Amino acid sequence: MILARIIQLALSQRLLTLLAALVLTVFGVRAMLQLPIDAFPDLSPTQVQLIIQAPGMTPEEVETQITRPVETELLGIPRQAVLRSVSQYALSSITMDFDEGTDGFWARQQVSERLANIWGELPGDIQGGLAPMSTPLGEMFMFTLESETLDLETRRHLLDWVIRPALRSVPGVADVNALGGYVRSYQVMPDPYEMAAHGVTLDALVHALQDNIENDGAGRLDQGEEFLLVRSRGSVVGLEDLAYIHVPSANGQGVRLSQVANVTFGSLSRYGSVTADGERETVQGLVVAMAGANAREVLTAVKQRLDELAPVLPESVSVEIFYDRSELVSEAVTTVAGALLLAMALVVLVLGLFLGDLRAAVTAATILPLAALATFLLMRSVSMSANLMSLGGLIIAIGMLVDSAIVVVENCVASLNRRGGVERLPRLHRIYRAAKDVAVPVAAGVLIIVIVFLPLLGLEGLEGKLFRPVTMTIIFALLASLLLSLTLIPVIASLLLRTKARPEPRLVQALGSGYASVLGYCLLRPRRVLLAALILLGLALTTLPFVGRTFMPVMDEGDLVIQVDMLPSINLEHSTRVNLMIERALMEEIPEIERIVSRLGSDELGMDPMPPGETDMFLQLKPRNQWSPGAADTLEDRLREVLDRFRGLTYGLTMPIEMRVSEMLTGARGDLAIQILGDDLTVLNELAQSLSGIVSNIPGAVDTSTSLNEGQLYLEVEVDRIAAGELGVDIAAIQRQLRSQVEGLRVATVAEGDARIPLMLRLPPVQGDAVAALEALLVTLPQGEAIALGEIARVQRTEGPVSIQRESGQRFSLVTSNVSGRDLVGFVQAAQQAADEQLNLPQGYRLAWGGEFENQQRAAARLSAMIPLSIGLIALVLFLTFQSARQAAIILVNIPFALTGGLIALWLTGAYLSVPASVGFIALLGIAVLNGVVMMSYFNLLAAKGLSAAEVALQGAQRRLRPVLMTATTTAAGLTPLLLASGPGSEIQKPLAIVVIGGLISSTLLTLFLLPVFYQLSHRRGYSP
Amino acid sequence: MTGFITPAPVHRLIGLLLFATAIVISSTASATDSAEEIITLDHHELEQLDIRFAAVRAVQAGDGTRLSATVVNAPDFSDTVIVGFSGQLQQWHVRPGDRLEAGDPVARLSSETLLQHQQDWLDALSREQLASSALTREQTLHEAGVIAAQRLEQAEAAAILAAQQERTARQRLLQSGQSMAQLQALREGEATPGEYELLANRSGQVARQLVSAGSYLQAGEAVLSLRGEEGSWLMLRIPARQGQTLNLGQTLHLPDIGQQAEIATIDLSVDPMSQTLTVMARLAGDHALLPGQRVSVTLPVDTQTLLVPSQAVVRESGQALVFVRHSEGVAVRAVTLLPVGMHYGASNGLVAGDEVVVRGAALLRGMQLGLGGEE
Repeated sequence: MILARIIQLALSQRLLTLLAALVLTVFGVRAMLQLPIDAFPDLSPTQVQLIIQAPGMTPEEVETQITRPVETELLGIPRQAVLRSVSQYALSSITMDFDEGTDGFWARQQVSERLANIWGELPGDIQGGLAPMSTPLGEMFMFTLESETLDLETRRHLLDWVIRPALRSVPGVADVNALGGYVRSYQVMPDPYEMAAHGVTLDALVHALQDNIENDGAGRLDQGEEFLLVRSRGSVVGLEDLAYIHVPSANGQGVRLSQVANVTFGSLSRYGSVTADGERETVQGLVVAMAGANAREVLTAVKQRLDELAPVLPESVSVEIFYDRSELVSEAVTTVAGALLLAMALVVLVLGLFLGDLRAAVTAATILPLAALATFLLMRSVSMSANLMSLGGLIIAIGMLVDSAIVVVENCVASLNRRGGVERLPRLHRIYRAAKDVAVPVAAGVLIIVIVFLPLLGLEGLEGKLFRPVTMTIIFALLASLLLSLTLIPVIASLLLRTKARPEPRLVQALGSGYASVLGYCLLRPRRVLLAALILLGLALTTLPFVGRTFMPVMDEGDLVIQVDMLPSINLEHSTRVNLMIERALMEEIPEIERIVSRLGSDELGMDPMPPGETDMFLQLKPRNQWSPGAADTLEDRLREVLDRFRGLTYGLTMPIEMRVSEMLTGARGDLAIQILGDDLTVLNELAQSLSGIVSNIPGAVDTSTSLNEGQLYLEVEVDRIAAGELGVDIAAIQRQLRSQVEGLRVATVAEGDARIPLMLRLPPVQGDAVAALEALLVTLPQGEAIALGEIARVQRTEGPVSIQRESGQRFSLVTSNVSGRDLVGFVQAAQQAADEQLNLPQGYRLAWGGEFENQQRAAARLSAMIPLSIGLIALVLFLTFQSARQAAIILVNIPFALTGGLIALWLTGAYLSVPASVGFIALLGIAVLNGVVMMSYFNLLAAKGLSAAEVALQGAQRRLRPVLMTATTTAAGLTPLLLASGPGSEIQKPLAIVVIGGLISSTLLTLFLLPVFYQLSHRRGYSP
Repeated sequence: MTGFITPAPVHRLIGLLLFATAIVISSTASATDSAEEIITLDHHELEQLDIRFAAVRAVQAGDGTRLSATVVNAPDFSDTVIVGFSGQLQQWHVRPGDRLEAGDPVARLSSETLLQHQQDWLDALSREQLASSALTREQTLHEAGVIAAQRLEQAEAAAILAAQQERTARQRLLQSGQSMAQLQALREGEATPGEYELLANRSGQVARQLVSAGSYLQAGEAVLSLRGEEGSWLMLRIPARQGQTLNLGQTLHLPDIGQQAEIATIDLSVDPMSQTLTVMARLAGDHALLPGQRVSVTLPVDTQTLLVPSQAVVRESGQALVFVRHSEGVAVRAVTLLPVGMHYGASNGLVAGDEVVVRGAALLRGMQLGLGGEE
């Protein structure tokens, strides 16, 4: 009744309805333009990262003195999901994931408060705190600063103090990370023997430096009737100022700094470097966007700011962009937009063919742009962004959202063409009656599809984040289409459709006559039909074991990343050299590569802490149209071929976003990530090595690796407490001295305009044998005398861990593997079995299986609970619609047969059963039910006229042939662009399209032949004479 | 207790068995040692991985630890001319750069003190002469029996006393720098009393005049600096640990200028302020080094070992490894190393001419550990 009133209202107020449509168009277009655009939906959980830099500290010291206390403090925070940490040289990185839906600001506030509580108890010279409020996908824009005339130090200075501050002020930018090059510093290099000879202690030197480099204000001084501001200038302007600093000495007279130290410009200890194209080192800027920022807007603003900066930079400097997420975004949007337009064109074509009436086709097709605009409006109202997934949802919906309009228009056309009394009614009323007749099945159909998609809203984790936008968009589009097909479509039909009777198009006539004879045959031999259907079902089920499974197809982002792991103890100089060698080989042999920029070791912010032996090598590829034919298929193999030649290092291939998503989800990279949890680092390492061996032997394993977490060379200084105590030397003083010898002490910061230049105190670098050099290191005694370190400490070489990883307060080692050429679940099962059989786990040690496979299991569990519920709901809707359990059952029985086409299509195309494919099956479920509803409702109409079951089945099916074929064809037409698309994101949507199109064929056939047979069989008694 | 006593033949048997076992073990061990680990690499791979080799050579004298040293004058040379009597410097006879022989006059001084001493000596001299002639007379008289033996004895005692007083006064002058010739001139009235020539106490070259003419000088004050003919020395402060390994007579090298110096003295106590030992070394041969100049020296090394560049060495469980060129690629060799300057000296594991990897050792170590390709 309500539906009839809505139609009535729309038709009685046609002008108002058209005006409303106009308003919808205006606001829809506005919403479309304002929608935030990104490549991906925000996949990250609410995550807070702590990065604490502890210069000079070894991993175990970092773990003991920083990570553990902070973790203990953080453990009490409510709503936390995972607490992970990595302690490595000079850096502690602690990541806390919160429960879904936790407010990011609240989470940061909690972590910040806890951190403040413990900060005072942590070692004195640490720096850092909360990482920028970003997500792992926030690395949106990367560039290098190139110049033929400026050295690395100057370029780094420009990046740090000109470009970075400018870009950080762009709204939506969380931070700008600077990598590579050399950070300029003032360097005071004392001569230990001169210091000893003058009786100058290290502490005295540090204090002298700290106390003599600042300006200060002294206050206000009245002079006559005016006042003066008193300012004392003490800031350091150049090296000379530093050289004249007075340092107290043991004899009380003091010395000039230059008497005991060499004062120069130098650079900070490097933790990482950046190389480019196998030719040179360079400096890199990395723009990190805030969580939830509009990628398109942020990147446009960043590029605009860079353009504004160009005149300020020296002429020889150029900013070379090598990663720009907006390219991916625009490609993804272009892919989707192209698919959308193509889908619309195909749908109009199909409608034209089936209706034989351009006016009718246009009437039905009107719904497409309007429903899309209404969807944008709804998306905007719930703050959704336009991305690959949400726009993909719209494409999936296109074929379906036109269905309701088709049913309405088709009935209107039929009604206007019909003869026999109705022609006497006013045209508007005939339209009203036609629309009203199909309102209930149309509404029920849309409701059913909405219900079908509801389980997807219950998905959690990554799959939830990926498919919620899809589902929401589909639901928005369908609801909009329902409303429009009951309001605007009848109005347009009343304006456009002609009352003149038109013969059915030849296509429909031909199909109709063919169908009638085949259906008649089927209805006479129902058992054969049933048998054939069962055979088909059986066949489809037999393909199931041959269909691979994976969590999510890999999206081609257009850029590749090679992750290289070298010997853990390799130093930066040599790993940089090896990097350049690899780059050179790749540039020479792979012509598709445009540029390579490699990031080695750790960055300045510590957001991606890596040791000097680890590299992320970004490959910027040339546009595809410049590639030779077939190059795309062999690219990875050719890369592997080159990389395989570099023995002595391991590598893995990935893509920028994929890499970050994997890291975010598991703290590791790879399809499969196995954690070995336990206490002893040596045992963990041994187990990881054995497990890595076991996993790599399983067919399908590629890039299996465990990072060589042992083998970091240490020089251990063990202070003899008694000897040191007798001489009155603190262990802390020895440690400080060692720090100043090896890493350098950052004693102060010198202001140079806006720039802050660190002032480092660094003893002359150790030369020759490190043990002998450290043993000879002079430690100043409190009385001003000195003693060689070797007299009060034992210096020895040892080996230890590269880093210490922890999860929920327990240490773990990690084995990761990618899987190629087989399904992930099968691989994991084989790996689990092999590990059970071959790996001997000591007591207190256990394995935790994670990675993408984990997500797949979670998604499967969730869907297996939600889908039966949704089928139950559909049954309820069907029962309410038809008031007959039998009819509801007939339609539901149709479902398994409908799915056969999807399975067979997967098997034929070799696509994997993945989350997108599952979404396809869910959509198929809805389409199959909808077809059944359309058919069954007409059967009931005929049955009510007193026709026999056989007549009902035959006539009803014949009459419904056109709408059923039209809905199926339009849906398939809507999805065809997805099948053909090749841009980024198409990999995710393709399996879905394969399943739905394959399923549509089987579902339509079965609806047309099996459903009438079922109907006839089940109603024979009731209607048979 | 008897149960624990083993008969002698059994002892021998056990001994033989142990000996045989030891031989088997040692032969197995040597077999393991000889089967060195090879990392197979062809020429092309070595080139692609940019692996560089260098032949090891015997440690040479200049390979030792570098330290900085200061050029100084030879320590046993009295390098200043000192004033014997306070007084005024009247005139310089020499200029900086003049070469002098020992005894050459360098300056003239006039001194009240000298005058007094000269007068004392001249008085003592005349007294001595008087006493001598009195003794001669008394001897003649005594022989003639004119005087008693007692008178003669008194004269002899007076003569001895006068001679002693003259010697004392003369010695005072001599000790203050006056020569016999000068005294003679004074005695003969050829020299002006109260004035004297300051003489060079050694041969050498005038380095510097420490005072100007006309200055009033105290006794013992230095007036002239002389650079000795014995040449320059080096003084260096060596960290105590390194200094303790040095011996007298060892050679230090000055690699930058191709000179050598022989260690002449080593302090026996460590300077507590700087924990260093002071070592002095005598520079050999001709050179243009000047006192005060800082130079770089290398400490003596054991030239019986082979020099292994530090970049060639990787470590495994406390053991040093190097990669040596092999017909099939590179061989992994364990070596025993001692620090030699910036590098190491290998006492075993290598022979002269072996080519060790000096670039790319970290990659090879990675290969050795099984890293590589798509593991």
